[in-house]
Amino acid sequence: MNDLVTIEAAALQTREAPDLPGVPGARVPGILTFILADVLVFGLLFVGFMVERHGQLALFDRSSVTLDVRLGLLNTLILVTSGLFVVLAVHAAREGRAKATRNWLLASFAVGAGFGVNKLIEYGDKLAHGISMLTNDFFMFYYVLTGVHFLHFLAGMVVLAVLWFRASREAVDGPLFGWIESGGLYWHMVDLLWIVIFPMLYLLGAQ
Amino acid sequence: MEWISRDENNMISTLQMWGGGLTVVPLVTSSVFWLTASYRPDVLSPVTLQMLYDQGWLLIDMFYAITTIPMVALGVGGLTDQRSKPLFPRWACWYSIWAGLSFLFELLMPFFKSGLFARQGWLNFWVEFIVWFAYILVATYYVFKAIPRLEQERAALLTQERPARLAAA
Repeated sequence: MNDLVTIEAAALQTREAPDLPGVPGARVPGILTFILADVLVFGLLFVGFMVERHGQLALFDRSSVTLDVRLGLLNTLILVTSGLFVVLAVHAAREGRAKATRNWLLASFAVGAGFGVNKLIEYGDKLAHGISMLTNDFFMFYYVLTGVHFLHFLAGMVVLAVLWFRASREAVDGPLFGWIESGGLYWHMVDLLWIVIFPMLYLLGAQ
Repeated sequence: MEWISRDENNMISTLQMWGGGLTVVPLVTSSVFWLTASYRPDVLSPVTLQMLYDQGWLLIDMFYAITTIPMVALGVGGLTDQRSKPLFPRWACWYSIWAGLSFLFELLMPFFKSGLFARQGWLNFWVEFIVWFAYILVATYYVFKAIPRLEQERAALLTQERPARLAAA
């Protein structure tokens, strides 16, 4: 857990680095455009959900309680932990520690895979009960929101895997660092989206 | 687009060119479906008119991938540009990639006749096509800016190459 100690120390220091905001010549990673646009559209979907829910409150609450809160909570913990490992990977990469970077990326991937397994179990269970996205408006939103999020999750897993491979061939504090950082930011977005999706779909209907 | 990475393979520029060219197909074909419906509307049954209208929209919406390809290719081409001052700003490349991928929501369109995911829904029509329009503005602006630079590069390349080729002949 050396990394957790050093990351705290680093946060207390100020450093000249082109990737830190506020430093002259700082470059905002272009990936933030992708992230911002994605978050905006998801935000629209969340608003759409809340407006629909307002018009069909009883139906939405009734449907929401059929979701397994424990699985949803487990997914939240999985993504948050995976996100922490990505932070540690970026931190290690910034210091040029290739092996540590790869290990943290691998850990992030391994933990993240649990989300995939969990989601397939959930979907399998719902579909076995004959509940699809055409069942009612709540489940339309449930399947589409979690489904689109799942596609983002899959893309993120591919990114983690590719970064893990490239980190074995290139210097992690060279040009690859920009990609590691961008991949990390994207993974945090996937995490952030789930942190809104989970309470909105799973918890709002609870008594 | 061909000259953007002239020393490497032309995979990205080929994808962009074909994708851009074939994007015309669903738009033109659907327009002909609608034209067909409006050619003898008094003689055709309402069911037939509805079917021709539906056919147009199903083609446009379900063919989204052919437009996704050039948008992603443009973004990737811009991101992998090796020039010291790249032709396209990175945010424009990422927006192009994101906008191209965001068409995936159209996969839901055949399943819904009402609501946000229907062809006339606020997401699958308004958001999707406004995003696409913004992409057109952004891409057009930066491509126009890039053209003079590419022309200069090519002129410089030709003035270098020609004497060498003449000498070798």
